[in-house]
Amino acid sequence: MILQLGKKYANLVVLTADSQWAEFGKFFPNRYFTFGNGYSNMVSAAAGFALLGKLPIIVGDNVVERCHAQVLNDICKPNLNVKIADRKGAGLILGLPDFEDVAQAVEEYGPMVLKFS
Amino acid sequence: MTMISLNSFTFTEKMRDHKGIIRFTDAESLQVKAAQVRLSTLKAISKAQKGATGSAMSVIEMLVALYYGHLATGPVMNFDPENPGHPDQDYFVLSKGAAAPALYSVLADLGFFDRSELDFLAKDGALLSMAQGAKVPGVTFNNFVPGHGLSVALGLALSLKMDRKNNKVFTVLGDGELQCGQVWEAMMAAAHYKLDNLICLIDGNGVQGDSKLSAVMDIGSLQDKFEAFGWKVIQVTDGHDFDKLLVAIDRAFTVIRRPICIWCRTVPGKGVDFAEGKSSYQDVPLSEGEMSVVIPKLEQLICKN
Repeated sequence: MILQLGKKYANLVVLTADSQWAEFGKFFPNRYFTFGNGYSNMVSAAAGFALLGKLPIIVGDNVVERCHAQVLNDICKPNLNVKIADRKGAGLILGLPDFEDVAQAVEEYGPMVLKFS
Repeated sequence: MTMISLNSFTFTEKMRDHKGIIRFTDAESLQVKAAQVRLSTLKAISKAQKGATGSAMSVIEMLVALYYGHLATGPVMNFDPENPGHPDQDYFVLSKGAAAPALYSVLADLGFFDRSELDFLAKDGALLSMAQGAKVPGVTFNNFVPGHGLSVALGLALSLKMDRKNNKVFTVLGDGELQCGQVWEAMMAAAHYKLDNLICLIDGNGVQGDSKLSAVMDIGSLQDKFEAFGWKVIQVTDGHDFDKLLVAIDRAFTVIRRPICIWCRTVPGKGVDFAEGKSSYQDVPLSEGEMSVVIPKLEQLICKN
């Protein structure tokens, strides 16, 4: 799915925090950025990508829960086009299959909805 | 290393680049410009009765060097007030959000927006807002949360590298911000991706909101810390001396495959005699009485030349 999207959109970049999306990196090595476990840095860097017209997809575990300040201040308030593909929770689902722990999604969904709806 | 003397440059004192923006190569003209920016910043902060005097005063020389400076190789920063956001421009992120009025003054002077907007700083419905992510012409990213700016600059620099462009990304960090953990994450990532288009200026004024930095939470030697992360560090012993700043920026442009940190030692509240070096003026605007003392001095500086 994400490979199809990568093929369709030339400006799509994947920022990942240790999250086993290496397959995208094999097909699109110059659009795949690993950030290790630096979650908050990754979320703010996504804002930088979006400012230059890229379409960053953040992949990680519990991104919204860990970096709420960054998601709120760097992405939501400036209204930037960033997608978050959260693996355990499901912050903003991007058509990704197989979310295993849907129950945890509440923890991520809550702060997002409370603040921005 | 041999230091290059700026006096050896063969440019005229005042010149216009190809977009018609006035640039300066000599320190005296830049100092006059800095005094103008300082005055309009103080007026804006004082009028709004909101803002950080000490914090804004210490970065003014850096901003003026970036926006008005000219090196032998060309202007320090490429930008076009008529066409903000065009693909050849260099990007600037002010991570030190408290100093935003200083940046707004520079941009107003360059013609990104009208000067009169400065009178309405941080008012309801004004263009020049002090809100996170506010859209202002000429401002890449308006950041008022400490520690996020370097990461955003990293994203910009990575994105430019990805497109194989030569545009540069400048960012100014306060030294109090270096206490944030996210800054060190960004430093690690910048060195990992070998971002030689990322130039980070550190405003080392040694003061933060509470008190002196060394008393609150000392950050130690930045030279050792940044170098251990794989950065190139260039020290500027006086961040208010344009000759030193321009030489440092000139050196920064020659570095390859390493991100660059220009560590400037500055004085908080510079240019306002009674506020210099004091943490009590860090986060407060000046009152009308204090302004009446400061304005004649700065105007004298501007008119003398």
